[in-house]
Amino acid sequence: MSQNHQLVEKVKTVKEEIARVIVGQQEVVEQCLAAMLAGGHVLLEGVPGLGKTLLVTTLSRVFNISYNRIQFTPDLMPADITGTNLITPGSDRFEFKPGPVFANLVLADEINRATPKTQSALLECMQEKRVTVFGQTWPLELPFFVIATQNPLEMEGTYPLPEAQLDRFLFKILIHYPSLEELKEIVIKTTGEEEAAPRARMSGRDIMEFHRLARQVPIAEKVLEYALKVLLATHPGNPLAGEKVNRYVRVGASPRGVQSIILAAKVFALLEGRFNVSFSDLQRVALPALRHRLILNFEALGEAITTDEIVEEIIESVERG
Amino acid sequence: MEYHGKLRALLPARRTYFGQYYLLCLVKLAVLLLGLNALLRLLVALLFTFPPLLWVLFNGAATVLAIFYFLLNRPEELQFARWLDKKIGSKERFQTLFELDQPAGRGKENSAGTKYRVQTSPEMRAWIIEEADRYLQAHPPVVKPERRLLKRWLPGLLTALVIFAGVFYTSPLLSKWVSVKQEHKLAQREASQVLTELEELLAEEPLLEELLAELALVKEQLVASKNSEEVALSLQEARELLAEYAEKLEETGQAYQLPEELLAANSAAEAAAALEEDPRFNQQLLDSLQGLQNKLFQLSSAGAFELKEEISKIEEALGDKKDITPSHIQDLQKLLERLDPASAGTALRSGQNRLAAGTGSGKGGPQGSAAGPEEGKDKNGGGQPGEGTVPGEGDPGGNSGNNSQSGQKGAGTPGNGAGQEGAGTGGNSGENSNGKASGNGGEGAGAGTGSGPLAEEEFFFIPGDREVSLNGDGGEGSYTWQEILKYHPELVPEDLAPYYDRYYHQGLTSINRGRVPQPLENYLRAYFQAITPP
Repeated sequence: MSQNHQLVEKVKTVKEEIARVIVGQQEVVEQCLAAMLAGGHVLLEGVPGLGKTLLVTTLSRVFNISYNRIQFTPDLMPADITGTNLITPGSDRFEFKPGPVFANLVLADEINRATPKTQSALLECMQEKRVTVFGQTWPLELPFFVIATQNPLEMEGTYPLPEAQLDRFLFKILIHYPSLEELKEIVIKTTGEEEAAPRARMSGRDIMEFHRLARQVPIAEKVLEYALKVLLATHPGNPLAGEKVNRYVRVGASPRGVQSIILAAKVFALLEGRFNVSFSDLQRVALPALRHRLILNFEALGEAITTDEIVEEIIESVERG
Repeated sequence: MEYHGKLRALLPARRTYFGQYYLLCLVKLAVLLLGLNALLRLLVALLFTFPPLLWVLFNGAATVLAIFYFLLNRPEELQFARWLDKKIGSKERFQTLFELDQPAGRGKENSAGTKYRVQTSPEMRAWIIEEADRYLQAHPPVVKPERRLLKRWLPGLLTALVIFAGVFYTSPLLSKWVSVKQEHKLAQREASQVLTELEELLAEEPLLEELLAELALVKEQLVASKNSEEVALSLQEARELLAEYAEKLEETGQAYQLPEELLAANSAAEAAAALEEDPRFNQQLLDSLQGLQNKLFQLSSAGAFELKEEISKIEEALGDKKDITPSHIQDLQKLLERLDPASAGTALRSGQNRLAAGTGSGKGGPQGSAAGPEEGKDKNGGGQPGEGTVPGEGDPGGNSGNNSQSGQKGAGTPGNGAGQEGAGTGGNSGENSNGKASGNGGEGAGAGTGSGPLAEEEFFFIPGDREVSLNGDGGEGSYTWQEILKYHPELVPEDLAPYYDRYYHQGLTSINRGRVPQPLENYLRAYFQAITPP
């Protein structure tokens, strides 16, 4: 069996391992996996108690990578994330004390509770995968992922993420309530004698290898054109834009949006055992990859129009091939 | 693209795809050829003809061009792969594979797609082929021809067939219609030319002014004609007119002979003296002049009025004073010299010959069978109007009734023909001070030949004449123009000139078409001549 197939098989075992711990939420798990394997960051949105933290810790364990959790609060300072220079006791020299961002997987819990200044401290980390403190740059250990969470209900005392930072997340994933069956299983698993502990199935190196492999996956010209048309269709005033986009969207997705779509689609293709991207891969990733990149106008807010509705319409309306 | 290994399983699908393309091309070619041939047939029917070899050339060229076009635009292997992906839902496997295998085409070297393909590693290509093999093994492609494509072209093919069949069956009719139209145009042009020449020929003749006016009307009819039959009718009408005038001229010539001889036999002084002294000569000359005048009236010649004036002068001179002078005779001789119908007759004969030569092309039908004006016995014969049509039954009686001016019942003045009893119903006035018979005479009923001479002066009034009174049995009344205006203030006197031509033409057309009884024709002409605006 080739190395590629081995990698794909490993990812399958990762999925199985996660499924032992996380009940239901299959789509969320797959999207998180795909984002990580594509080297992207994830913004999880859901009410408390839906297993966001559990998902992230599970991921860190099955991938066997270092993990840090930062609880964002209004008084959290950038240095609390990135680290700072401290005087070493007994000497007159400053020594860099790395912050919690120095881990392979960082959980930025309730990221919208911190001030924009602190939130922006994550910008360089997420994009450049390095930290600059007092003029000195420290590279972050690869692979590096940020999984941020935010609560959609409690808006008081929160600071919505700026567009520039939102754009750096590959996916924004919405976590919904589990079904009755799933809930029953959750309760049985978590209130029993022993909780299942996830085992490591992949390594950080495997993730990097998979990431490299994903970038090699070719995409047919018509499929690529479809992805580009989807992106252009989010721009109000563009000939491809539909009525809803023209009416409700203030700003469309940036080219980073289509990069995210293609990369994530390649990962999904590999996860299905294919070495080519299909239209269905693109359709599968378009929603989580674009929903946080569209900025709606006041009319849309007034009429309770969501970006999901708009993106879904775009996916359906844009002509394939 | 090389179909090796499991990819050979794609070959049947490939055959289906390209097979249906060429089948579709055949259908398109059929539609094209049917349409082209329909168009050509239409053109041939409407505009021109060309030899069968050109048909073959046109069809051959169209077929060659179409085949060239179809080959040039035949689908590539990549298009087949895209079609296959869509058809069997293979998640774009084959188009990706075919794209990677596609050689960099002309002008495509720098395209993003080409660069992208070049970047793909050979290992990845191998993996894709391997994966495609596995897929084909698990899902052997079963592809059926797309009937939808053929169905889409079926209405086009049927429409082309129907159009072609329609054109095939209607083109001979169209062709016939076009040739009829062309013949009509040709006949119209030729006839118009003949009439123009005729007009030029007769233009100098003072006795034939009326004929010229009528020929102008005939020409108008000719221009407005819709088909060859109407052209023939117009020419027939022209021939009849010429024949009619020839007859009149002949009669005029006979009437001309006696006064001319009487005057030529004596000098002006002798004639003047004979007029005063010899009542027989006097009577003979005046009668013959009167006869000539009548004949000239029949020709609607202005000469009739001049002659009338001369006769009046002579009569006046012959009155109580008896002071007729040779100058009277000389004036009369000059006038007679000018009114000599001989030259008009010569011109008319030339015109008749021209007309016969110009239109008697032997095609048969109304104009073709002209055996000469004199020989024609019926209207279609191309000769004279024919006996039996002109003296229409009942006309004289009817006219008599119309103009009887009787108050209650028309007691028409009968002509000499048989059955001339007029049975009119109520005229309006017994007396018309204007002298114009405006009463509606009763509708005549009778049968007669109408050949009897009518004393037109008894009931015809021509503007310019002295006032006449018409007696009748109706209620009393005396109307003058002033009185009419007085009792009818809404009437506003208006200049006649703008309306004259229209009415004059209408009058002549009515005469020309036989709508005016023959005895009234001269009256009508004289009437319009008298009221000609200055």
